[in-house]
Amino acid sequence: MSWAAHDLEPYAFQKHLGAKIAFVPLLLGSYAPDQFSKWFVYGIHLGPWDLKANDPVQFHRGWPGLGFTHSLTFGVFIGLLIWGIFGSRIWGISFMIGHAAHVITDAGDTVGTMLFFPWTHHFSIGAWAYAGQTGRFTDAAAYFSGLGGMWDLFWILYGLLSWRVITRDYFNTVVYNADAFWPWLNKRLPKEALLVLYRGAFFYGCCQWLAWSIWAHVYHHYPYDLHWGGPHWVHAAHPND
Amino acid sequence: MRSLAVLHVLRKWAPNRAELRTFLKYCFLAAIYVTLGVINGFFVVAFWFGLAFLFLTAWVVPTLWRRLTR
Repeated sequence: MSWAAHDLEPYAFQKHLGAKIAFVPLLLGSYAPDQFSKWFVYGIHLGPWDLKANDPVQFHRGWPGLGFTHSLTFGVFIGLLIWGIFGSRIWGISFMIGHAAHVITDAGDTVGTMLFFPWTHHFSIGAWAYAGQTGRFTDAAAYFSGLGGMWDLFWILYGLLSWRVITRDYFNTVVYNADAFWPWLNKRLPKEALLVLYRGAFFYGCCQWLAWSIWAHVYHHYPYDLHWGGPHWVHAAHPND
Repeated sequence: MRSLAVLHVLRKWAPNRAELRTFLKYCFLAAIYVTLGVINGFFVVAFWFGLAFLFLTAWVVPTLWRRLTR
């Protein structure tokens, strides 16, 4: 499971692919795999009801479960669907790229992802502990204490070094012209507002990383453990648990 | 020669005054948002919270302020 990387990776693709991709579907693709599953992995309270998956790891990454959303094949399928229904090649391909980035990044943890579903083999690099089954706060503490947090930091630094990708000039000349969505939205909102929206995921990703890092290490004193597969103070889930 | 080349790259990379001002404005908003997030983690659990916060503080409020003080 990754946190800020999914917010920041789209800007790196944007930098390298320029007008060949559309930013909005790229970001939607990057968020898509977790949109329908993460709340149920951590659990929520709805009045008197507590809703949570019985087996969060199986539900999130496995089959049976919603693990197929974390596969390259699912991203290609939805991308082709977008291409076919809306007739927009750039939206379809951008969605596929954003989705693939999410799926490959999540293969970095100890559970990994079923990259080529319906083949249910989990591809896992095992660099950081998957701790989604422990609940949102312990998962955050673990993630930002291990190599997962460092992976996010890499994308923050890469984004800051490539800062021109979030400037007004870049937005006006590349992002705005690459995708008809922005001119459409510009009929309702001025360009100044669109620029703020475009910068939103970058802002959120950096703030998320900082807030959780401070929360985990200054406020709560969780220990850093940058060993492979760590932090080892949390129970790391594996595909066959 | 190499140091001149590095200087040239750095000069091209470095922001101008207006860009630096924008960066500092976002840093200020980030400081507020991060503080809220540390106090209550639910502020930083959803991208839509972050986007709404940024949209309000970086565009809606300054725009309203400019209109009211014009």
